[in-house]
Amino acid sequence: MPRLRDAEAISPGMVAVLTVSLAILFVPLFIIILLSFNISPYGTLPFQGTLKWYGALFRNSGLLAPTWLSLQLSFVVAISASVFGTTAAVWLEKRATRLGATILKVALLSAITVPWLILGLAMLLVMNAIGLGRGLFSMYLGLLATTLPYVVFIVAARLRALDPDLDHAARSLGASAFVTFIRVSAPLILPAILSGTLISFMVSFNNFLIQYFLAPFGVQTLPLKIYTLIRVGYLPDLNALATVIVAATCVIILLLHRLGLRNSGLPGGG
Amino acid sequence: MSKLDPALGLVVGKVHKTYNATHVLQDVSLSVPGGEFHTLLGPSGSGKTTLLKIIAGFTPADAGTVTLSGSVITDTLPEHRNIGVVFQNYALFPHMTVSQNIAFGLRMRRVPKLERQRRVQDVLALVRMSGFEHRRPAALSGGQQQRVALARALVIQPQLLLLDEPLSALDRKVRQEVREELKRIQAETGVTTVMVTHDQEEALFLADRVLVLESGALRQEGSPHDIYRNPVDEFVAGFLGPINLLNVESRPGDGGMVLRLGAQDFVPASGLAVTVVAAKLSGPMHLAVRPEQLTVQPAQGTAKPPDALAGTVTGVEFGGAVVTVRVEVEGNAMAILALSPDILAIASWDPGSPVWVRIRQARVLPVAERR
Repeated sequence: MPRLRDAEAISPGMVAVLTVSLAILFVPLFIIILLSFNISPYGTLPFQGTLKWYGALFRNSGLLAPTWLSLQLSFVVAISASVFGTTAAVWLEKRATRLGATILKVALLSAITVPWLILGLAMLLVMNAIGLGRGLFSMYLGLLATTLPYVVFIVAARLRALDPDLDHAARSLGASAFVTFIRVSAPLILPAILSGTLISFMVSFNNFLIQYFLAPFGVQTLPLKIYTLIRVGYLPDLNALATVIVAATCVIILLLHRLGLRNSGLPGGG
Repeated sequence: MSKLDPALGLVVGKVHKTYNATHVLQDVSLSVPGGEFHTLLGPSGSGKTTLLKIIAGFTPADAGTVTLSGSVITDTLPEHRNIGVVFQNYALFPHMTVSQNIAFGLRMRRVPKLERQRRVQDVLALVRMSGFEHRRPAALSGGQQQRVALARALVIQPQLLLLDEPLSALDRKVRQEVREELKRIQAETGVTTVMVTHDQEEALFLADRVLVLESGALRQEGSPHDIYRNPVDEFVAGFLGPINLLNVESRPGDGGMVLRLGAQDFVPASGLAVTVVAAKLSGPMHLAVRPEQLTVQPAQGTAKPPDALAGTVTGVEFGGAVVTVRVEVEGNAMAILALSPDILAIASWDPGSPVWVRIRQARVLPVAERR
């Protein structure tokens, strides 16, 4: 006879599957973090603690310039995505005709669903055709296109969840449409805007393919730099950088969690 | 702009509204004198909420005019109408405290801080919510939220107060409490009020006048008592509460009139007789009888009295203070409402028991309205 269990209880089989999948995710990360503190440049044991790779990272690794470029680029992309994305979301929820909304949604979804390999290639063709070619501005446009959907969908979902009578209430109390947006709608969708901005930042930072296709020669973002390094061999200072990035990512995830992304139905929440 | 006179109240003239080829409102006109409390009563889809939105300015009318305090506001933006609105789900701003919510309309009017604070305190006292200034709406119960919503709408001293199903999101006990508060506050402030509801009990309790809407048209307008007692048609009759509809035939009898229901003749009670005579109808007619206008007693012997109808009990529903007795007379199912102290005896009646039913009063409806 199987023992009666609480209907909400997690079964041992589920626990096993979860453990394995989490291990696949986190064991490599854990190893990289460990190796960044190991004295051996070839990842060999015995483990002997050191901080010298962190010193090397900040002194002479050649990794800081690409990191700085990636951070700057992602920052500008994320801010732009939040401004354009919020505008588009407001239009989508409040003004758009059914046809207009469908067109926008399909366009945005395709930026997520079409493989970035194809998208990057297509973008390169278009940039060449319109005379922009490879370059920082092309990279900016390409990354913007791939991050915009996240902001639009997250903010639109939040707007949709707002009671339309909130707008009506504000209007009847004497607020113009603009003041109503600033005083009532904007504060209520702000967490969604911030979530979208942070996700845009991460997506933009990570997007190797778009960067690869659109970067001019000599311009190296961090993903491009790492790609070059793993082909020629690399020192554990890269492990140190990876550890720093993991730590920063953890902070972003905590922020997203605090912003209530767990209620938005998107991955990234707890 | 001409001088505003609140005593002129609200006048809606021939308002028409079409959504996707459906006539949501068809030339609806109404007039609410200053200080009165009117209720728009109708089922969902009757157009009552659309009418409210047109009055508030949230949606434009295709044709017609809205006049408030003597000024035509048909094309005025909602923020310039000075109309307080209370919504079904309160629509309190979740990111603001109670006092910030209430002060919002005053801020928009650039009322100085000290006066703002005083008026917030006054209106909180009016709705009996003093001490809740710094709470967020999420930390309030439904009834408390609705009081705050009412305070927020009243603090701007509106020319008109619109209530959109204000009680329907509350549970029964709180609903009655807020309902009484609403009546008191409306009387105290004397603000012209229009409430939309689908709940006839609410409409009858609160309103000076009830306007019954169906399919975008005004069916009947009158005092609660009048509408309940004298519905113009079957729809209004049925919407305002349970009703028994009987097809009878009248003919002159010895010393008065005799009515016939199916195969039974009966002499109408004096009140019913007067009503039937006033309707100036002979031959077939359509009677609408409220359950409380019927009396019932156990049959004694085989011959029925001339003023009663013989029927059979089909069920007894105990409801606390009242008991509903279901009776079949000549193939007509009738519901009869019996009050204490008859309840104890009636509650033990078995289905199939023979009874005598008498009609005290009824409303004669035009036969043509039968659908």
